[in-house]
Amino acid sequence: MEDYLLAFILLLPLLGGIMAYTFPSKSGIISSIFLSITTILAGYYLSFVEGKLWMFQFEWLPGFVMGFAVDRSSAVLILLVSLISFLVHLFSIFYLSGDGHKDRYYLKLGFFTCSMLGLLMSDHLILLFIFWELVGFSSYMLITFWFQDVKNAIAGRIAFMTNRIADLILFMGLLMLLGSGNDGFISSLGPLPQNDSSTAIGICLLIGILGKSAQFPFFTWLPRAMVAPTPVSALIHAATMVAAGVYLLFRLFIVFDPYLLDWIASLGIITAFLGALIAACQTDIKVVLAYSTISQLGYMVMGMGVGAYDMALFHLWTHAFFKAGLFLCAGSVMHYLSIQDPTDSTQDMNRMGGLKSYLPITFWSYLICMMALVGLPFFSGFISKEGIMLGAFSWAIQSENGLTFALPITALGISFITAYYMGKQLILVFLGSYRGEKLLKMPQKAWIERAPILVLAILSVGVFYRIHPLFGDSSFLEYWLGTQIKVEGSWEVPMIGSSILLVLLGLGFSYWKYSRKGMDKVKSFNSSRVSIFVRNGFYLDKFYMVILVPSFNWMAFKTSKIDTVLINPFFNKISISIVVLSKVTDLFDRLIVDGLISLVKSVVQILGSMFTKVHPARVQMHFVSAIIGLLIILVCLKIAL
Amino acid sequence: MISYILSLIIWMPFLGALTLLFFNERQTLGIKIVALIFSLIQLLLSIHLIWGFDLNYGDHLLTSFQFVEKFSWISMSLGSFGSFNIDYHLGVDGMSLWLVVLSSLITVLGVLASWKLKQQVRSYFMLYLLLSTSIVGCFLALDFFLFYLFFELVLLPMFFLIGLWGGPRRSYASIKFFIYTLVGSLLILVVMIALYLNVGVLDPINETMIHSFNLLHMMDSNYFIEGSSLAKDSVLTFMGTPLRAVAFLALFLGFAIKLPIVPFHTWLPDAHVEAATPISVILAALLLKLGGYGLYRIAFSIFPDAALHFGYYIAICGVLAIIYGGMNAMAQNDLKRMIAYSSISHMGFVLIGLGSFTVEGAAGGMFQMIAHGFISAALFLIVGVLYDRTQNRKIKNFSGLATKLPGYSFVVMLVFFASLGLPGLAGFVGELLVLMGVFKLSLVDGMLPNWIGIVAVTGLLITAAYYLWTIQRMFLGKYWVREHSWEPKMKDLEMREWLIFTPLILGIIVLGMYPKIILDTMNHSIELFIAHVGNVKIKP
Repeated sequence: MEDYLLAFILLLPLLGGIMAYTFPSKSGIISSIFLSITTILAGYYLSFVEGKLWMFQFEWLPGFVMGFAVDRSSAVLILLVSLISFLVHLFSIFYLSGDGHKDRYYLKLGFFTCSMLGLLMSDHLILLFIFWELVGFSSYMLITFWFQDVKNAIAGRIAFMTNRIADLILFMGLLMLLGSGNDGFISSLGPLPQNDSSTAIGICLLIGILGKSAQFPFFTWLPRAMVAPTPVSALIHAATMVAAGVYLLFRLFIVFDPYLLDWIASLGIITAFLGALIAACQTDIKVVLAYSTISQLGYMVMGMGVGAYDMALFHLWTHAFFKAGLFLCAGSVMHYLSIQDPTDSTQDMNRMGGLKSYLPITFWSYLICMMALVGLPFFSGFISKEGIMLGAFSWAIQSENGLTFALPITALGISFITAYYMGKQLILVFLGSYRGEKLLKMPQKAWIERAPILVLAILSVGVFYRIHPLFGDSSFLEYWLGTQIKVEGSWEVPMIGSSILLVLLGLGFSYWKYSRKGMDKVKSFNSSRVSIFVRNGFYLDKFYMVILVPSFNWMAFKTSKIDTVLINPFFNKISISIVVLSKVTDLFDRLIVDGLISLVKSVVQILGSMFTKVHPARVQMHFVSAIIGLLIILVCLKIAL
Repeated sequence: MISYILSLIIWMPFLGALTLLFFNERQTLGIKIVALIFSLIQLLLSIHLIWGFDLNYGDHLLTSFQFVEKFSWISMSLGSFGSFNIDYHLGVDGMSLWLVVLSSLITVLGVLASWKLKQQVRSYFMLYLLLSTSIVGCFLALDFFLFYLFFELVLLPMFFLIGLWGGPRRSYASIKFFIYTLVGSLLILVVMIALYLNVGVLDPINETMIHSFNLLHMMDSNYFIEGSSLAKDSVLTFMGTPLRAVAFLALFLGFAIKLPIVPFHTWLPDAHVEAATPISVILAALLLKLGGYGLYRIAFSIFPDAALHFGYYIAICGVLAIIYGGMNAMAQNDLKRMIAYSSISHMGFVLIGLGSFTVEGAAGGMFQMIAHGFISAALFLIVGVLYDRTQNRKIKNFSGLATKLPGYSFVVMLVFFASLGLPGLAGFVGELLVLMGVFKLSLVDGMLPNWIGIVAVTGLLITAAYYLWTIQRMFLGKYWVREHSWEPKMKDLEMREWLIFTPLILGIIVLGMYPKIILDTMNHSIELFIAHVGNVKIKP
């Protein structure tokens, strides 16, 4: 019974997509209905996964068994993915109401949901890799959904290629893991023996994770991916796909040796810091959120690295809701503005402002999600973030190296930057007065717009996860994840206190900067050299696109010259020299061999003609000369004898 | 009771070619229908073959052949030289079975793809059916002489099919193709004669040697005449290399030119580009497989010790082909040329799989050949669709085709992604198996170092790069074509084209999702093959 249920959960989204493609006029409704069934099934399923694994194994290649399995942590994420996917489907009906290719859109979205669920369900590394790639492929298809604009096509290609680099390195790691005698089942993974190859395997796996979760140095693809339709950004590039790396890290936690985990934590915090810094300098409403996602993923990766993996997974959950909520709010804003003026699809926050009174529901939802993101008490983000930071602190205390304290302290600092850029976004978009041309007031009527945003905002309230706003350990999640979420240590109170203080300071700073002073001052900061440098992501993307990619193309071009300049002429020369050689033999044939023969012939001819003169054609003369000849021979014989 | 199904499969197209003699040049529709019917019968027969195929037949490579037909064909006594025997000897095992099915399927699709041909229809289809007979004959022959006969017979129709119905540089391309392959064939011929002289059984009655071209005898070291130059314990050398190694290298080179390997690959882009669409399809989907099959069946099976000795270098050849082919494909601006180079790149995996001497690697190489048969056929048909409409193939002359030709673009996306190895489609499985073989460290003394696998994976990245770049340049973006006169011709796929693409797409998806469907039939033979090949240890 359970296996059928799981198969239903896996295949329903895809089926919904196919049905939507078949009946284009009602595509959104149909696929949303399918997704709602998936969500209900997933929720129901969760209620009876009691820590046990559900298994379904099959032989994919001869002698090569793979399988699906679900435990409680993946069941929680299955519910998460199907729920957010359902809400995004609903929102898409509203968002894409004017688009002509809705059928294709829902097919791709359904395909994505199916592959993401498959990724969460697979219990074999190769099976997981298969879905891992399919997720990347559907992301590519959705980024290039509006492919008429070549900019989107390029963005999709770069996103796919960046992922592909990391994925193939991951693939190598998986193959080496299998080659070293592992059967590849995730549930039976154990620590690797300490040797060179296990280090290589760990590094390969790590790079794969960094790529998918948009960590340093791979993160440049995520801001580019923002050209996708906004609901897609909410689902794929904020809530689910980019979290797949964190999920894999959670699954492979046992494989990494402690030394590598320290590296993972450092890379996580570097990404979190860089992402937050770049986000603070952005003016595009979606790109801010994209860098914020990078930064939050960095938090999760760091959480994994310091061993607070359950809290990191919890942060994945809370982040999925509030970040998807924020993206849908951004989508709501963009949709509102583009309806006012279809020719101008601006995403520039400098030209927004004062939208609070136009889009009240969006505003309040945005506020809740934002508070969850910056980590204020009473909101979900607070619980998970504090958990990660406490984990980092206790990790730093346990390690002998004093430098390790840099991690939790940087993490604290990042909450200041996060609060700053989110406050800035709130002020620029919703507060003050509208800075564009005139804006008509239109009521927010469509429930398919309001409902998903509201649901996501409500799920970002902390009380659902823990009754006490600040401390304590009783929570739903404890039940779901099956682990004790409690961090010991005397650091708890001062750390939480300073973190809240820093968040409030950050919000206050943004208010001081953008609300009290005029916009002119802000403009001048935006065009300063430092700001431009940071806003362009430290030119990392430029470095890839201007240095690495062209040099690769140049190499390819040069390699192709080997064929046309070296190999082809070489063999052509050989054939030409054979032809020349045969010409020479031909010449030899005609001049020397033929010449000798004709020489002989002409000698004979000349002799012949000479003798014809000697022998005039008379029978009597012949007779006489014959007799004379005979006599001479006889005389000679006589003398000789 | 002997079953004659293999002969039927081989000679069915030939029968079709004979039937075409009764038609005159103007009855084009009749000619096409006859060609279609005979190739369809061949396809049905080879599908029937799958049903009767026993998965676990035989317990040694030499006894694992099914549906065997063996008749004495030429037999004469040469006095003190012994007697001379050529058999008509056919048989099928798990490795050749799917190549036969693939050949007959591609033949049918090729007939459909040539449906619009207008000039010299009768001679075209006669040559085409003759080509089909000789290709299938190669896959089924178990007598070296018979194999060689078919192997050479492939050249003849191919030469004319490229040279008469090809593009502007067709005569250059066809001669180049002919000469390259002929050089390879001559190397094979020399080794074949040497083997013939070395292999034989003593006739118990009149104490003379009975020589034969029987491939099964050549694979069995017991049949080598004691003290002969190619026997297992032979110490004869040629310029310091043992004779067996020299013979293996000659065979390897002969087949590898066909596969092809770098640097003997330059015939391929020219021949593929100049040939008409259906002929390029046959070239890529089937002719390259002749080389690969020859390596499996002949070079490796007859000289396993030498093969093991050179395994490492063979894998390096494969890696070189993968990277070099990929880099070249990246730099091409002609779509067909790009695809031709991608074939070179993909065939490199076959060599790596063989060089790994593991069951995974060998099965992966074999699977890669089948999968590449489907994918490359679809790729060249894709080029054909565009070429039919515009007589142009330059990548930079098109943009945003997905807007105007959505069905076509769907096919392109699917096939391109299959070719770049997206999991769930056929291209991934072969590569996965081959790489699993390479990374399997413990087997056969860890013959291949890890870097081979690592570089091969880099090749996959290059593949993704050029396919995605092509998709972006040709199919995404704003719709635009260079010539205004092409506009009215830019129509989506018609019924006939869908009919050709559908079986290929189905094959690509089914093979990718459920590879066991062919790996199960192949597995037993591959295991026997590896047991035969891998058991031989290198002489100290």
